[in-house]
Amino acid sequence: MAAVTRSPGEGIVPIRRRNPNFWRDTARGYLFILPVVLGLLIWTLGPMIASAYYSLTDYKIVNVPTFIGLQNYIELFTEDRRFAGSLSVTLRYAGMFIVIGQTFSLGLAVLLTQNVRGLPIFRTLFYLPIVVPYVASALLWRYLFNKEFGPINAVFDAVGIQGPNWLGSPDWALFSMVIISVWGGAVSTIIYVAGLQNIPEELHEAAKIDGGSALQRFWFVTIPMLTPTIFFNIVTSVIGAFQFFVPAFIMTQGGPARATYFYNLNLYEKAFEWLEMGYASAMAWVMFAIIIVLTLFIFRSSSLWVYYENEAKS
Amino acid sequence: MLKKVVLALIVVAVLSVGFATAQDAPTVIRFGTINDPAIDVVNQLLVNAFEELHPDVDVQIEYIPGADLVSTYTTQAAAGTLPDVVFLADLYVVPFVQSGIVLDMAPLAAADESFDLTDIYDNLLGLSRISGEGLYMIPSSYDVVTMYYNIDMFEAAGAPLPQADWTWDDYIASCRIIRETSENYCLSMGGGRDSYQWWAYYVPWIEGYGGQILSDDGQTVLLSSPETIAAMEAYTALWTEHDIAQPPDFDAGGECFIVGSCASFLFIPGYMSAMRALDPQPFAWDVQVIPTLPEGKFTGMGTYGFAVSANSQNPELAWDLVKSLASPEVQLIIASNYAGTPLLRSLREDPAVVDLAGPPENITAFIENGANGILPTYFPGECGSLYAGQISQEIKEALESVILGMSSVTDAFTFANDNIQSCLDG
Repeated sequence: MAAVTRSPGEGIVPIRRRNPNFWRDTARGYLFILPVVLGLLIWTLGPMIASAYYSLTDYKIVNVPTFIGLQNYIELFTEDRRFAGSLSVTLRYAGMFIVIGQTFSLGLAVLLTQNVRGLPIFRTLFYLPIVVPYVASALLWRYLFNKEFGPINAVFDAVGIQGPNWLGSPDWALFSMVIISVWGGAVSTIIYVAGLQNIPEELHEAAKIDGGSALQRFWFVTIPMLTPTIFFNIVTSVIGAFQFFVPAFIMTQGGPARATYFYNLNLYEKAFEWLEMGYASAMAWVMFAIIIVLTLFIFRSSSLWVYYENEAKS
Repeated sequence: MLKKVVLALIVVAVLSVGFATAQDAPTVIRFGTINDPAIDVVNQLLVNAFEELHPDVDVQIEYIPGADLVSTYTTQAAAGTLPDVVFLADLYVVPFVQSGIVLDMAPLAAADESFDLTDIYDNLLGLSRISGEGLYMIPSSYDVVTMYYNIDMFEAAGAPLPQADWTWDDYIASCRIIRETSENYCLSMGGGRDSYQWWAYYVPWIEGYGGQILSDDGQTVLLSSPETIAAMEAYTALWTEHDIAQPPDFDAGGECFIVGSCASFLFIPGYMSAMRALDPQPFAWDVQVIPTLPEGKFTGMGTYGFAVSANSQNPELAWDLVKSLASPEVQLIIASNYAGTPLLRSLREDPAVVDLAGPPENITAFIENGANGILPTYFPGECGSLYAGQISQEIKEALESVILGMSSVTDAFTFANDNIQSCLDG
């Protein structure tokens, strides 16, 4: 082996000295994050582990859980008529909500990035639904959607259109839920506003110079640059859509004719009305698995349609 | 050494104080109830009566939101921390017994010479029993579903007022006049969206047509029998054919009868207090016994009450708190507040009840209607009941699909029959 010579200052490997306060600093760090970690363990991971165990038992709260293996899962997929129905309602709602909601949010975000007077006021107004408590908004919408004396149908009546039976018709009830969710979807709008503001202006200018119309600039510049934001919003919307519960619970209780019988409503019923805690735990884990699979699918597909500005494209 | 001695003395002193405190602590009876203005008076009556019997015992009232009753009690039962006395209603009797929340008070009642169980109407006591056995709730009132009707609405339409000897056909004919002359409906379904599936409404029709929901041996579901099908066709015809009953999607902005959009309402006596509280009275109203079905008069019942919890460390004391609900004194006070009808036979003719000032003028209709009260069918096993669970859901879905015009009675109830039978068969 050849000897390595080094002239002074070249190739000197600094000798690492351990920080004398390493353990103290480490302990302090863990001490500071301890409340969060404890909270995570006690109120998130702990219940998740308990739920996973209960899903393998026959458990009705007042009895001692009896281990039954995968029986709850088998019954869920082979015997529970309401499982497929509630999942179907949830999937249809999620599909409508994501498409309509994201389109509406993006359109609203584009409007909220225009240079008009009073823009902060408009942004505030469109963000207000977020701060309305969920229960209060459900009660409010129940009044708005009232077939006989709700304001929405009153407007339709005034222009000679017979308003639909929003909450009383199986054909309209689910769509009514979508409307409520889109109305409260300001978070997506705000994220889109931020995304739009992050698009370099020179890209639009370059497109203008090349003779691109507004629509072309939107389609070929704005949308591609916005795909990371769209990706994020779709993932969060999917997760949120599958957790939909409060409006259906308050306004329709799953009716009419199970048109709004969401998966979470089914789960709530099994847990707190039928007291089938083990079975409900199994339902919760199935829902968790579905959301994970869908999220992974969206992530996997992102390489095909999400463009990151710093990616080197071949 | 000195430190150890001082520490030991402190420990001994603390233990002594604690022991003395424990020895001197008064007995406490925990009284679990709901915070509802309609029941506040009753809560206080029970506490007052108990304190007269046991002045040395403290009563600790614990209020639970009505909507959280089941989840709170089941959690407390699992933890062994139920109050000594629990509030419940007829729909909770079966699940609370199955969940080990309430005690069978029959032995306590039998041992108490001051308590006369035979003075309580038999059919009402059935709500407190499981298949005629035990005593799991002391009911508060003879709450038999009776007809409230809007005198002004009937007269304005030129429709005959409900009479005691009416059949349902007479009632329907009168109601159709109201529908033809106004936009009002005739039969309120209450404030709930799907009140038509309350057993107290549809089960009387089944019995009134000679049908049954379950065979006497509890093994065979009879929802698809010819008699039950005929009964359900007649019941659902109130919506689908006669169009006199409040549709499920008709939101009157409150309970349809009280807001003046429905001409009649079938409900329990306690509703009188809500009607009388309206000042001024929005319309003239009265009450009448239920109309007659082909096999006779049948109607449902439903009431709240109290019970001794299975966890109670002082069941005899808890019994003393609960039993006064059925005492003549408390029953007369409940009646004088128009919050119920006395459940004691001995008070049937009591002037303090029958001579109460109207409205309603025909207050004795509640007592006369009492004999028509039937009990909900009890289902063995874990398929639920007519109140909750799979059985209730199947019947609700069957009724809903027929009323919404999505299915025939035969198809809907045969489907429900088969599903429930499948569950019962395990």
